Amino acid sequence: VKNVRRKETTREKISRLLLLLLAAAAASHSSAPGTVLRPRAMNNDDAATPGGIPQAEFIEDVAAHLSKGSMTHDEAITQLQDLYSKYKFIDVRLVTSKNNLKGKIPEIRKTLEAVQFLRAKASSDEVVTTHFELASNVLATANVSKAEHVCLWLGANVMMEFTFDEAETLLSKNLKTAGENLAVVEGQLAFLRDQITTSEVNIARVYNDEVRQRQAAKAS
Amino acid sequence: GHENRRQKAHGVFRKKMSTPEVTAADQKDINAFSRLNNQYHELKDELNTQKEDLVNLQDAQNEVMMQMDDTEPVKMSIGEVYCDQTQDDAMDMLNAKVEEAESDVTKKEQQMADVKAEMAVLKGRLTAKFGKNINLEEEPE
Repeated sequence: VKNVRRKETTREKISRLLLLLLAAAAASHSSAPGTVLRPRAMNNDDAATPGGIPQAEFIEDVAAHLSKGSMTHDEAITQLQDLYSKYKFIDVRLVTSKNNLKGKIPEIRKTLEAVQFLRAKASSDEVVTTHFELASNVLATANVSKAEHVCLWLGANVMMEFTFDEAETLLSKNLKTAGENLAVVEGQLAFLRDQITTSEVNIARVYNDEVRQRQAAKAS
Repeated sequence: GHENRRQKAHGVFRKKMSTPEVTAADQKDINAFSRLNNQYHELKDELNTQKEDLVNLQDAQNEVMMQMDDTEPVKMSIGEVYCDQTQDDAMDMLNAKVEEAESDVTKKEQQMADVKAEMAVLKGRLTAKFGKNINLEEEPE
């Protein structure tokens, strides 16, 4: 973005300020559409499983599992429950991530739509009469004409001016990346849910086995 | 909320002497069922939002059509602000949005039907083996 310094005409100044206000209204949202999103890798560097989440081993045979670890039922259950709580912890983190991304996507889409709208009106030389929030519950009117630039919030209270092309490219890229990141998180969540379900069944079976043994001992 | 629905529908084993043993293949089925169940509920929530959006858009269409004065500009919501549009332009925009919303709803409903069908297959397999020992039913809301 070039830093061109020449005297602004009053009209240009008004146009610029209006676009700033247009974007300011959007900035009230915590996620800035212009924030450059980094693609998220499915696996951490050396991880064999999605997100490096540990695989829950399915217990083929309860008795074998107990003797292999020289464990009592209680010890086995405690061990399984520890792993289970780790999973639940990761679950919370991933769900938060997912909801963030799910919120970001319609936001970016709306911003992109606004940019495209402004561009269409500018290219057909139409004046856009805009009603925007000047302050809480106060709307003001502005006429935007011959817009050439758009300002996008990049996050961290930083706003940058772009041409329409640049803005559309950035927003489209962010939209695509957000979608891809969401897919990765959902993939990790699905894998995690499998491990959680397997753990739950493991715990239930070890417990049932213990009950069975006790009942058999009582019967004999 | 979601948590409870998931836990209750995943497959609860009751203590019975004659419970058939759970094999790795069964575990796979159970996991798949649980995943699909979660997915189904998510899709259902998304569908509700999409349906709401559609109704809002259709209401907007009606509002524009009912304008007494044809020359009066309509304030369309663009981004976070409202821009004046001619009624024709506004209707064009709304029509395009309604079309997109309707197609989204149809797609979502199809996705839900597919998931439900897959769940039915798994449920059949698991109930055949475990019968009363597994709970794959939906808890009433």
